[in-house]
Amino acid sequence: MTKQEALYSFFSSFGIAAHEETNVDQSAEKPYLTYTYADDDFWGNQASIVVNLWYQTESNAAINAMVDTIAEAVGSGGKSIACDEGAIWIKKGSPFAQSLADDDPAIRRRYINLTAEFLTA
Amino acid sequence: MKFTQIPADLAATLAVNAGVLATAFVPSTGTLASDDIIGATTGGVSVTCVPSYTDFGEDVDNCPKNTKEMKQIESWECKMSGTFVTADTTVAKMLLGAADIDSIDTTKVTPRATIDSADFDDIWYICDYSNYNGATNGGFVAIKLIDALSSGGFSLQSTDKEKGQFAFEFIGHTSIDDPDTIPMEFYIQAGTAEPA
Repeated sequence: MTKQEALYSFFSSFGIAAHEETNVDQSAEKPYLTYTYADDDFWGNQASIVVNLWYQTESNAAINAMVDTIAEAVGSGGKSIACDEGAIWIKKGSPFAQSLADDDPAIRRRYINLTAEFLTA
Repeated sequence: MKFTQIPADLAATLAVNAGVLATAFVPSTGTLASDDIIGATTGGVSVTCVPSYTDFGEDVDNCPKNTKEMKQIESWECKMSGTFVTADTTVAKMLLGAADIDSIDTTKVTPRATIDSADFDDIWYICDYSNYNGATNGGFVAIKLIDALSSGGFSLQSTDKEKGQFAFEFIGHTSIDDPDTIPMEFYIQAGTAEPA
C-alpha cells in the first residue's frame, strides 16, 4: 500500500466519506471529512495534516461524536499506519480540535490538527 | 548516497512514546493493569544498566590495557530515573525508600532511620514497540528493575503556574542469597495485528 493509499484508507475508516482537501467534488454529500495530503520520509520533519469535518445539521452531537471517534483512533500515543517501506505515525496536534463557523448556519465544521511522521525509506 | 539508509524493519523495531512505570506487569501476556501504574511522568523515563569493569592486566608489564582476557565485571548498576508529576502517599513512600504510611492517619508518611526488606520492591518500565500497538496484541519493551529502592530520596519542585515535579531515581539490588542475578530483566515483544 502506498503512503497515499494508506492515508486514504485510514481517513476512510470512520464511517463517513473522506476526500483529499484538493479533491472534493462540489456535489459531495455531507457528512464528509477532508484531509491535507502530506508525504515525506524518515529524514524529514513531522508533517502537519489538517482534517476538516463537514456536517449538514443543526446539532453538534454527531460532529462532536466524530471528533471523539478520531481522537480515540489516534490515541494519546499516536497511531501507526502500515504502508510500503514502513509506516506512517499519526499523532494528535495541538489543539486537537476546534470548531469553525460557516456562513450557512446549518453546516457544522470541526478543524482537527494531526501530525505525521514518516517511518519510511 | 550509498550509506544514507534506514533498516528495512525500522517501523517494526522502534520503541515509541514515553512509556509508564508500574508495580506489576505480565510480559507473557502483555497485560498491564491501570491500577498498577505508579504515576504520570514528564520528560520521559531514563533506564540504565551499566557494568563496572576491572582490568586485571592494567598494571601488568607488557600487557595492553583493555585486553579482553583480563577483563572482569565488578558490578552492575541498574537504574530508572525521571520525574513524576503525580503523587500520593504510596508514591511518597516509594520516593523516600525507607518510610511508612501511618496505619491510623493514612495521609501521613514518615521516613525511617533503618531499611526493611519490605522497602525493596520490583518496578516495571513499559513502552510501546513496533508498528502494531493495538490494545490486545500491541508490542512492548518491558524492563523489570528487581528489588528497587529509591536512591534519590524525596524531592518536590514547585513552580508558579506549573505542575509540581517529583524527581525520582530507583536502583535495583542483588540479593546476597543470589549474587549472580543482576537486578534488571528485559523483554522485547513485537506486536501483531489485532483480531478483525
